[in-house]
Amino acid sequence: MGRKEPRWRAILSLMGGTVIALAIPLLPQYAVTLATSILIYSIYVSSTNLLTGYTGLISLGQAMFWGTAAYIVAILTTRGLVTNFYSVAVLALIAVIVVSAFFGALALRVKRLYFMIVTFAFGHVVWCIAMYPMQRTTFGYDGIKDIARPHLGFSVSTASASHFYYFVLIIVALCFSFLYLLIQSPFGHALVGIRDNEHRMIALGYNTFVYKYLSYILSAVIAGTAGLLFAYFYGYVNPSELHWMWSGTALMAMFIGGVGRFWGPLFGALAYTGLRYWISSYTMYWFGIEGIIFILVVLFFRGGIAGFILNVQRKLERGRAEG
Amino acid sequence: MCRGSWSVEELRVESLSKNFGGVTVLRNISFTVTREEKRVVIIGPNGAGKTTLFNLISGELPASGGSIYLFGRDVTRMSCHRRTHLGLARTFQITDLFLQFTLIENVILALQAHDPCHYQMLRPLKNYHHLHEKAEALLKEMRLHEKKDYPITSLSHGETRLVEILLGIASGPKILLLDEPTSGLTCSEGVWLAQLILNLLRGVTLLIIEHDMNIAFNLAERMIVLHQGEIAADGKPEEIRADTRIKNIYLGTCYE
Repeated sequence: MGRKEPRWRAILSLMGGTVIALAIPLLPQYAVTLATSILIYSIYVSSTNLLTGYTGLISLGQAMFWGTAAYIVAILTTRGLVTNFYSVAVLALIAVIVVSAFFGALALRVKRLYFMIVTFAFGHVVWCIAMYPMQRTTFGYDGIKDIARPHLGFSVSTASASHFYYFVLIIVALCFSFLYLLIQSPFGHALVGIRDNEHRMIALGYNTFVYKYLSYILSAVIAGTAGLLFAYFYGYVNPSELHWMWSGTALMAMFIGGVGRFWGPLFGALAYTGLRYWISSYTMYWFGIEGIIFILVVLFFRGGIAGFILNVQRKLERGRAEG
Repeated sequence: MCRGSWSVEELRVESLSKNFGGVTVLRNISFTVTREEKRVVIIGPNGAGKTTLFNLISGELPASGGSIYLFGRDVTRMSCHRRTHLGLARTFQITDLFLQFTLIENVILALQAHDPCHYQMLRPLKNYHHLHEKAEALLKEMRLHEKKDYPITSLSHGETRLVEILLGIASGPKILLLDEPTSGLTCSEGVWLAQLILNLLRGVTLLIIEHDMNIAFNLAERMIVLHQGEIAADGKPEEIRADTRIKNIYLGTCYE
């Protein structure tokens, strides 16, 4: 086994990444806030990556889970119904599991393009419900504001930007560790098999519906985790959190980062948020530029940022082997 | 289980039919395969409905009429994946593998389907040593062991035909449906593969679709001839060889 080197490189990159992540609160506060939002988005994008990148199900309904969790946090805390952070989190995630179990069972009856359209329609239905029939609870377009940062117990407050950043960082580490284990596991192996050739998986004896269904629910829980952090982070929730455009954003960031690559969502969220922050300080046409970037990535960098890094690494290795 | 000298039924098909819209592809197909008949070869000209018959038996397509029994159990409405757990497996005429995976990963994916670990989410697959050992043993039998870490796309066509069979036998089936195992192979490769099938799959009841008549007669203990969606003949290879009707089906009636 002469392949020890890449492993060392992986450990070193991970250690380097950890040091950078831990040192971010030394930066000015706006940078800490930006980094926090990147981390939250990276959880959200990784939920899409699990469903689309690894399982091959293209969904336009991820915002439904992000938004459901965010709204539950907003409603429960601003009305003082439940204030304990852990209770709120558990309730929000249970709601997400219920919603995803219901819509997943229906949406997974159809495949490919139809699945995408059905998830899109469900997402839109949930958005409409939040906007109109539930207007008294959600305040429609106005949204719900003044969501306080959570107390984590043991007199740990997350009111300051750097405290909240570390709190989010821990959740990110947990989410990514879980996804890492999942992808290495027999279950994860089967998900990629379904993405690659579902027909053969059925012939081999896999009940592919159960795999897709579990993947859908897990991905919803991860998106919900991100949404719940976002509600606390931003302190304000409005219907755009449930809108299908936000589901589309997750897909776009996933493509930019690298589809089906473990670190793709982190790169995607970093590039997406960073570019938006930087470009929107020059021009208000951010959406147009975002579109152009997306087209360029799809045309010339199929593997996204993660794929690009991998290619460069391989080329360097080959160059070293030849030189 | 009765293991007497009388025949033990493994697969029974009763007046099975299949329509695609107005087109009848299979009509009133009935036959029984017992444990004693180790290799049943299904022949018939293109469009006779051979692959459709396999798709109905494996459960990939629902039957339009009739019933299918596996080991005495009615499976007509049972889903495809559950039939494999009763001991049925199949291969495909057009090689149908997992192109993103390496050779050994393909085999492990097939093994995993019938292992209790298949819903395990938090333990890495590489820690399941018994799966790896089993996969390597299978690859050794097929003499593909040296290429186990190759991407599946780098294998030759002949090798992928072997992998196709490997995925079929990985689950340890009692009945294996082989859909043209020699398709796309040269004559000598085909003969070699037929020999391999004879040697490797001794304990398994095989239903084989085969186009090459030499290989078909070589493998068969019993032959079923399908013609225009119906069973035209069913019997021992010698009987089929002697049957002039079969020659007409293959060569056209003008020939005589």
